[in-house]
Amino acid sequence: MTALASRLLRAAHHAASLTSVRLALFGLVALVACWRPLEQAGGMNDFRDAHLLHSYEDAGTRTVTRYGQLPLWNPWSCGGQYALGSPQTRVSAPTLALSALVGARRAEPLVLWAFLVLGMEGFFRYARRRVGSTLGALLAAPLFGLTSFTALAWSIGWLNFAGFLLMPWLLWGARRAAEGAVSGVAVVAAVFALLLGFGGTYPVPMGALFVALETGRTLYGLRGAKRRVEALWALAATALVTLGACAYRLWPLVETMRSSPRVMAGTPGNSFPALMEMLLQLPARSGFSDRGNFFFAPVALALVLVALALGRRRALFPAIVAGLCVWMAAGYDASPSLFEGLRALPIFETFRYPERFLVPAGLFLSELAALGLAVLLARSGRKPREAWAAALACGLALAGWGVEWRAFDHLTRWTQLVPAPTEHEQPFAQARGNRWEQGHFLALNRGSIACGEAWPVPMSDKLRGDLPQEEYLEDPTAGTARRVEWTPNRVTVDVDATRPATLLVNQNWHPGWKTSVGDVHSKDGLLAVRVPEGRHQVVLRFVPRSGAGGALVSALSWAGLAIVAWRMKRGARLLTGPRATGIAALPLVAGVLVAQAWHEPVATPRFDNPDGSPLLAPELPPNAVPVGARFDVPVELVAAQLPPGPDAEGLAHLVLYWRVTGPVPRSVGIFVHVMAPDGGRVSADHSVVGGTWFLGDAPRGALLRDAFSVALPRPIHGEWKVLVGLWHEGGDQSRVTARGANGEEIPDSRVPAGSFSIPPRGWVDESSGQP
Amino acid sequence: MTMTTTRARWRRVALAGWLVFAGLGAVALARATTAHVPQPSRRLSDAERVELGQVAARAEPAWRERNRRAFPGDHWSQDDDFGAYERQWVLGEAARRGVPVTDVFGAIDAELHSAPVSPPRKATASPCKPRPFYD
Repeated sequence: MTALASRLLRAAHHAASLTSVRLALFGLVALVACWRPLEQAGGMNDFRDAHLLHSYEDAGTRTVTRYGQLPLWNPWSCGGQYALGSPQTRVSAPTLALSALVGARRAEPLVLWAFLVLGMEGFFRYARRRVGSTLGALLAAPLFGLTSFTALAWSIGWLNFAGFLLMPWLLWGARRAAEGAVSGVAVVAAVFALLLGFGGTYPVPMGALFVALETGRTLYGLRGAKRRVEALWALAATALVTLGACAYRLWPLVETMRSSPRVMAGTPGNSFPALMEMLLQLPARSGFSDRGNFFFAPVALALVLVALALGRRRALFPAIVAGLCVWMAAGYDASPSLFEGLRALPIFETFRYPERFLVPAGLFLSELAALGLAVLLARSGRKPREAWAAALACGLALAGWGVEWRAFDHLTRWTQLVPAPTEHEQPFAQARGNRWEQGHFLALNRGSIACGEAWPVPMSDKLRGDLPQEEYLEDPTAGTARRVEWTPNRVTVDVDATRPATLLVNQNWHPGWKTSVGDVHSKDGLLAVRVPEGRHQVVLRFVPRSGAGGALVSALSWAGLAIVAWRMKRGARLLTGPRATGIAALPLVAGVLVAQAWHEPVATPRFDNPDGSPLLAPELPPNAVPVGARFDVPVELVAAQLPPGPDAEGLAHLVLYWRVTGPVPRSVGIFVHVMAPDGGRVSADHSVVGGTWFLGDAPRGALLRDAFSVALPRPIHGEWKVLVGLWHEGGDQSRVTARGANGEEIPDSRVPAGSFSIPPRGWVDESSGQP
Repeated sequence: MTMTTTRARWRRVALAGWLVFAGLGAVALARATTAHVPQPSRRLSDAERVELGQVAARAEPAWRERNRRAFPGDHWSQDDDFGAYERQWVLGEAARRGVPVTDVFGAIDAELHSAPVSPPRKATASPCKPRPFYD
């Protein structure tokens, strides 16, 4: 019996070491998990985020299949946006080819299937090197691969979050790269490039974080200073090759985010019991809840315990990192908050869901499970009497697969599936649109101006959804404009101008637009061309410098890497040290040269209040009343501009003028108390000025025009006073001491900013002839 | 059993693995390309299209007023709230008449394009300005 078990074990080990057998197994596991999504292929996910994100893929697919163009400009979303510069689009990933082949909706479950297979294979490779057991790594792979967050992401249309599944490839590649393997460099560069192209807004920065930890772990494990120095050079070269490989997407993204910075406020947090519910409780079969969103099969925890008890030093790293992930996932509920510290770093400042760190927590728990299996399998080899423990462990792992599949299946049931929209063939035009149902507008060949992105897309407020023609002259008496050809990246218009005129296109301007006649510019954010008098055929082309330059840098990086791999195959020695790093930097130097040689206008950020008015004021308007209050942080309330009363709908539109002269803690926010004549109070607190800057991030010395409105509950006749101050909103909620112009403390630290009144018979005095 | 026989057997196993993997991929592809989600059988007639566009146009001012009060001074949020009202109405109409949702949105779009829109109605949408808070 023991001999049979031993033979079976050897055969299983051997089979697990065959890539094809593993892929067949992972393919089967993934197929079972994806059965329901595959059944729903072609239908439309009616969740609002799915509408937004799928529309991007749909737009990219239409651009390729109907117009034969690369998906650079997306005219169907938000009045037109740079597809490569939009962080959540997937159109620059190779998966677009599948969308083009079978249709964007039918491709999605196939992409999910492929990512599940890739995720399990990546985990296997990573864990096998870390735990030293082929069978252990194989059995633990589906515990990570079936992580339920992927199913949740699927059900609400966030397919780009499947990118988390490629994280083990990054860790595996980073280790191989540190060991001097070109394949490791290629894997790290390829996976980061793929994730960026796939819209991995979280997987990319989180992947970078864990790659940094993995390289530290690898460097620590190396013996001797010489090997460590070599590894550091290899990692530096890897970083440069990766930057180059990602440039096709990174350059457009950086450029876009610089012109449209995103502010993320708030102090999100999760209690420990809530995190345990997310991690260990089976998700419900229907409805949305946090429970089980990051499910890790509790039965597999027994293997984790085995690893902790018997794995000794090998269990240390994954156990510590899993603990750090849970700490991070607690967000601001933990004290001290690791997440708060992470948010102080660039890029990570936009993270808003700390619980997503439970995905890498699941990865490291799976590594521990693999280690537990490895330890027991090794012991059974040495002591056949302990074979039962190994058999039990394998049984637990298989039970874990079953439980995780169940959780996966439950979450995929949450999809709000509706029939795909019916196609209407008509010329393209902008519609007012509706971001909640955006998917329908592409089928109508209409762009949706209504836009619900997670970042402030540069948009013109002059876009319209009721125009008789999309290309027109600003001054209709100056001549005529007639569309000749329309494609996403190229628009041709015949213009007959009796005098110099401006051609307007009902799309957003971007510096990447070029014209064959006249000069292209932004007219209140609209795409505009100044054309001379006469008859012209104006051809507008979208050729962005960052897209072309980034693609060149990426191509050079890949070509360089291919040459190195080819030379090594022919017996050449591997380039190492500073020379390798220098060569890896060459494509980036080429990118800098392109940036210098190719001049393109810069899109400058617009800083507006939520009511669309400018956030920066050159000077105080005459009707602003000086206040001159200072606080015990370097902030001055310069003036206030209050209306005589609310408008006819009971809305009071208030403006405060602030000046920040030094560093202000991020916890400091503004409170506004609008005091009713009867003693009641309406609050208009806000910690982000104009929805754009924390006080600490505002430009120093500039006059900030903070415009906001208050809905008054009832038209109570009399004088309404406005009291303003600062408080530690994100801290102990204490008020910041306010002082008047003479330096004296203001009672309650509430600065009187003025007042307005309501007449006896309603919001406005109807008897008055004044508006 | 000789070493050569064993190697040959594992080679066959490896080949079988690739075939199974390819077969599984083919099953996934076949299932994705043949899946069918039924569509509503009826479409909006031209007359219904015009009628629905006009009904939505008449409802718009009241929705806009509610949006302004729900999000005072925040234009993007007002328009977004309007979108939520419009969505509810469109889904309700599509379900009630048994027609595709796309047809109802098409009716609204056709009405908007039939003549320039003036306040309190809007043919515009405020530039996207996501709120800084989500928690």
